[in-house]
Amino acid sequence: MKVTTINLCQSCLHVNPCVLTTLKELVFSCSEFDEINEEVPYEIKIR
Amino acid sequence: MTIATTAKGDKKPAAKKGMMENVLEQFNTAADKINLHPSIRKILSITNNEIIVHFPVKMDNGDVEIFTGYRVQHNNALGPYKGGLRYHPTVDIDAARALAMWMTWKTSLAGLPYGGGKGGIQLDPSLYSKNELERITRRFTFALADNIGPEHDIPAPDINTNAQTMAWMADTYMSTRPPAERSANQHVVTGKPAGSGGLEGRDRATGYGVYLTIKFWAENKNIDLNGKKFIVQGFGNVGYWASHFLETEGAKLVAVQDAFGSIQNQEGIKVADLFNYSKANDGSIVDFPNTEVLDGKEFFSVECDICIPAALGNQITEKNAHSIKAMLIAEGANGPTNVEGEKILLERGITIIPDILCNSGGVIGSYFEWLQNRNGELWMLDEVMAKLDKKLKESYNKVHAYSESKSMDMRTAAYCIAIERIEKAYIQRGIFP
Repeated sequence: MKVTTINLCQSCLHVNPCVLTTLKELVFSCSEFDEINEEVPYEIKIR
Repeated sequence: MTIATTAKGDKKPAAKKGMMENVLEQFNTAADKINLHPSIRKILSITNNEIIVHFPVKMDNGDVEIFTGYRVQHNNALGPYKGGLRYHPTVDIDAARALAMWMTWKTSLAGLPYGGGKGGIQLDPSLYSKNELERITRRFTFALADNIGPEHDIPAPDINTNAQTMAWMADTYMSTRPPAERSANQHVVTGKPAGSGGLEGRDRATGYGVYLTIKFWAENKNIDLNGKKFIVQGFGNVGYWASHFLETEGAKLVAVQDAFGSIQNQEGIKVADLFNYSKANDGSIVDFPNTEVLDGKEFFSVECDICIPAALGNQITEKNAHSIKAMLIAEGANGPTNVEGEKILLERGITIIPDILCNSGGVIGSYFEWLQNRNGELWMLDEVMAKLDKKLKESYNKVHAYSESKSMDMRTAAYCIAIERIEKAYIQRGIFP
């Protein structure tokens, strides 16, 4: 994927310290994604 | 880029540049290779249905908010639409279209009786309480009404949605049916909790699938996995389970990268110990005993035999493909290798097990859950794993044989197989009227 309109990083708990990518505006899918709100249960990665 | 030509030669407006363009590019490359019939190319270049619903939900403070939800149904030539629902502020129709199309290829390649769909709600879940999210989910399900259904369109969890979300959806959908039909509609969604029609072992299905494709590759090449070194990017569900099963074959985990940092030990890292450590350290693998810290940029050039990018896209690029030491890349994540990176890897003779094959264990697990509900059965864990093994072996062997016979890489072969299967269905059925 070169360009995407989805940007997961902006609402991810790890957005600032994350070392996985510098292209944080391009991430549409990530196994490390954790929503900032802890009340929301974790993503289940089964599609 | 023009998506398709409509009747009487009217042109659709140029599509927004983005994910859709990329997915169409992959589709057109494969379609050219197989000389796809022009009419079928037109059909597959565009989505069947795009549902946008605006629905009101009462918040905890009594206010009413209006939400926008999407469901894109790309193609159902092979069976009901299948794909995830995500809750995220950046969900939009373009992204849903692209991901729905991707699901069509994935389910087709896996040999499942499904088409492709995707959708979600444009919202930031961090702004809502659990009760509000439940009402939003239930109202969205009600708004979608008969646009979903166990034999029509079967949603699944995705970003920010999970087993609980699916349980709410199933309950809401079933409640809208006549009493005698309610139980027969449990398979309207997959990814439900194990106690509510969910599948045993669904948590490990994708990671197990990644491991299986690596095992099949090794068997084909007559390579013993015992003692082979592997690295994993992402120690979430997929990365952990793939590592767990590889370790049972005697393979050695030598480096891991997660959102917090990268670690290495060429003597081996015990998967279970790292998992327990990460659980006790807020999900971080950093400072795991007896490992050295790696610079993030060095991660993909670590000495190893197998590399498993299982976190996110665009990780193997023209910048690092030259320095990769592995002889196999198993794509646990979606789109981890970009076009330029792949070209370099292939020139260097490095095999890539493409994402639509490598991480298809998850959607196959979904199919098993659907079948289980549909047939009124409850499968044991060992049964599920054995069925996954059989299904994935079939897919792997097809892709391997196709790529060998046509002298093409496994990704192109996978796309060709997926599209040819749909083409065959259209040729057999014809186009109504």
